[in-house]
Amino acid sequence: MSPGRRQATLGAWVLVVVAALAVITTRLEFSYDLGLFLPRAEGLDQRILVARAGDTPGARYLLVALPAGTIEPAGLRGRLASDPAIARVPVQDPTGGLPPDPAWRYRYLLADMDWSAAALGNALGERLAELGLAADPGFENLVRHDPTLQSARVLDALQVDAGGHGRTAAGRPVLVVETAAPPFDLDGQAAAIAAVRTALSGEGINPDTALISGAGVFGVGLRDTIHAEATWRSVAASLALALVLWLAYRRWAVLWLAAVPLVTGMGVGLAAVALAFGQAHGITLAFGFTLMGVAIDYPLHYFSHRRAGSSVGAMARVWPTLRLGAISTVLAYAALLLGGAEGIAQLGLFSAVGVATAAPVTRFVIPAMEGRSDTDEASATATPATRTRGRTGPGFGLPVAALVVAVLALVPTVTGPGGDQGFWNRDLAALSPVPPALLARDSELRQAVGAPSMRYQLALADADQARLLERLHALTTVLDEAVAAGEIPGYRSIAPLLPPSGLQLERQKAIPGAGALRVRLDAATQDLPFDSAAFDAFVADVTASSRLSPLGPADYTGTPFESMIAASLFRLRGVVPGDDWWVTLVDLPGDVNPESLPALVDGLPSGVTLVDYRAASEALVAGYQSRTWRVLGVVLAVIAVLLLWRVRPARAAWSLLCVLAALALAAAVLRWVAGPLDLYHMIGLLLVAGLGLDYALFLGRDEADVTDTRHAVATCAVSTGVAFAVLAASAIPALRSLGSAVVLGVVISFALAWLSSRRPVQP
Amino acid sequence: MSRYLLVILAWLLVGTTVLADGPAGDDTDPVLAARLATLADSPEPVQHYREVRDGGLFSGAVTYTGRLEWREATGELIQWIDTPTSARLAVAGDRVEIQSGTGRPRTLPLSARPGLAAMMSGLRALLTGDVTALETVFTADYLEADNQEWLLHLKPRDAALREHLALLEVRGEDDRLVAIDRVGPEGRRETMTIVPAPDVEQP
Repeated sequence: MSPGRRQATLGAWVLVVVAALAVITTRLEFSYDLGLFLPRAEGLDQRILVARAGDTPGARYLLVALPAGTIEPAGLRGRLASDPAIARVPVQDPTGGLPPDPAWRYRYLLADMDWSAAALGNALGERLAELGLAADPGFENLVRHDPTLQSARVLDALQVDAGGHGRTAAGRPVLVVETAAPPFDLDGQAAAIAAVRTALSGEGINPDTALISGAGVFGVGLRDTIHAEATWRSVAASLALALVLWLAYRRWAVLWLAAVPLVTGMGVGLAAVALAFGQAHGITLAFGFTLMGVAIDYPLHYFSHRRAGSSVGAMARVWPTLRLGAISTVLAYAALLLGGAEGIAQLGLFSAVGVATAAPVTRFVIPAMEGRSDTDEASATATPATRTRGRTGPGFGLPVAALVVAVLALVPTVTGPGGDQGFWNRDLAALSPVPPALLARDSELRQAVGAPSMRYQLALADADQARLLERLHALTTVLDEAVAAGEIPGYRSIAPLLPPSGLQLERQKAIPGAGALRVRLDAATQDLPFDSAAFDAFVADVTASSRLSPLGPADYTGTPFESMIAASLFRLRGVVPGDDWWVTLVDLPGDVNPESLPALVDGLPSGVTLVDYRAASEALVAGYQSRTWRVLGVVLAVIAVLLLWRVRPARAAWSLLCVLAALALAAAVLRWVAGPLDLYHMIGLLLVAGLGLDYALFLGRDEADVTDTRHAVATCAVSTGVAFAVLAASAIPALRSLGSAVVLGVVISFALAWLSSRRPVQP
Repeated sequence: MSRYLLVILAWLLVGTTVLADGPAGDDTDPVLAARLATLADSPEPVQHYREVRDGGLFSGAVTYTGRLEWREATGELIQWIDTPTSARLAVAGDRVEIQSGTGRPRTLPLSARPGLAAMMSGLRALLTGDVTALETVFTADYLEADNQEWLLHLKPRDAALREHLALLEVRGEDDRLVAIDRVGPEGRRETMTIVPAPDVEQP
């Protein structure tokens, strides 16, 4: 390479790197919206799952168990409610103080009320007895305004603790706190947890003696654990990789030169994502960096072929095979662009562009950085690779045998009971790294307070919001009957806060005037010892109610009910093609019997959908896997055509057979040793396909430099295997799955290609 | 060498001071504990009472009669109002169920009614003889006279709780309760006088 050409190459590389950095710093934003990774949803339940993206019922609740035997400090709720990280403390006693507006102001429009003197008399008789139970100024004030406890009637239906005892078996009082942030907003969850601990300290309770549980607690704890685990394991894997490279080449320069294609590819890939999508998901980066691992092998092939004594024309000898492998890998990764979800498309674009960049950087930039002489490169160009003579043909026996064994091992898992669910683990919860003991404790606390089910909800959808609220009102009427009949323990919806406008106006018409009300009150209190002016505030409130306009969802903005309304009433795109529909959700209690649900749903008004978040997520994952495999099947065919075009048919067939056999055998071993395969196994096997194809293409070459080739492939396999073995030893399921799939796949790919490749004849 | 001795001496002094502070439970008055134990051993499972309320929503004095019962088997504290109208309140854990007359029972968390919670925890501790539970919520000040009368002042430890209940004053004679005075934050005093069981048992 002439000095001028070398400078031009390095200059171009610097320009590309600078441009990529400029795009990344000015255009790229990071996203953590899991919805980006979910495929196109089918049906209302899947659409709700995607729209909620982890924000399922009850997932915003923090369960706070105070030390056993303690009584909740009186100021604790006030401290919690005043913190912006806390949306509300759902267990709010409507009789302990005046409930929050607008539910309080609209109480006579939100629930039915019997205005007769007899009904008023009955209610006041009950209050007379209750006032004797324990003197409480707060309760007295409430009775002045609301002697029939109408507000309790409205808000009772919103209680989340209706079914619980509020205390664990060990005697710990349990408090429910609803966070302002959704469960996947870990910073918001951390702030809420800190708010709880601060409030406990402020009330003289050592926060370390309390138990705080919930999805947010798990998320925050795991973030810290995963960050620490991933960091040290990444460092350990990098050191292991560096050690392997040093042992293989005994040159420190190789270490940083080997990183140049990889790092350049990552930068350009990220810039491409920024230009195409404007944002990159955290998962895109994590998985994308994994898939980009194939690019670390490219310079190793070059280094192995230019070791002492065999440096002449090294790049020219490896480049055709390296290019073929890279193009095949780019095609496979680009298939993810058709994966059906923006996050998957980001992953495909990032890794495809990254590999497409890393290969030419290996070809042109590394020799330029090394300052390779013109003589070398000229020789390289002028010296065609010498074919080996007298070697045996491709060894098809071993890969065929491996493929047959793998297929035989896999057949029972796919055709057994439950179909291919015996092979794929579609339960996203199975990937949960939360220790079972913590999950059991969380379950106990949820049962103690009767928190809503995290799995089931009822859903209604309608194009018109007013009509939807009317249908919700009709649904709650039926649900009330089901509760009365003992079919379900209870339910919670926003219906008590948002009755249909027509119903609110009807109730308003029934409200008596101030004069008439006073007459009825006088009659009601005739035989009771209440002061004549005791209920002036009640009369004033009732009179004010008769002038109110019907209450709508927007009236709850900025109130303690806002988050509950937003979580249970929202617009959803695509329920009907091209249109946004309103959807409302009804919570079912955590102890609802799943077996009773189908019968319950059958008895509900038409159009009510039972949302089973677990089933919906499993169906989504199944659809995603099915679509991905179909696309990859097409890509495999394209790669086969490419190989048949560029290399001899026997070598192409042998290379593909090696890859297929390695993938099938690795999948079979993983299935029978580790259980059904998950999403991270799939990503790992995708990387194995790219690596395995490279191994087969290089080891299958009919060239004279077989010793260098074997050195290169062995170095690639050992470096990848060692690096991912560090991840495979992790206790975190995602890292363990990814690491074990890659290590096993690499070992099998390498062994199959190595053992069945043609051997040189001894001189 | 002398400096090391000083350090060791200082450490011993600090350590001794810390140990001497001890947990609050170590300060329990043994006389109070014995008194509560005798109350808990009382053969009378139900305490009948009379209470006169005045002011507030009422046009005049209202006399309530009722009963208190601690059911050890179920861990329930139950209060009945028998006159002027009937009501029942049952506390189990943090759960309170209130039923007036023949009306529908209403359930609410005890923790949401701090004044009621403090009152109930005091009553429960008195009926069960649980001095530790009593001193978790209240600062207890116990006095005994020569004529077997005794007086127990219970002041809520929690400042926010004192906004609902300033003081519970329990009066007794030997092994029986005589009266429980509830003093509100505004100084209003209401007295629950323990009375003999009426001849005709209430329903």
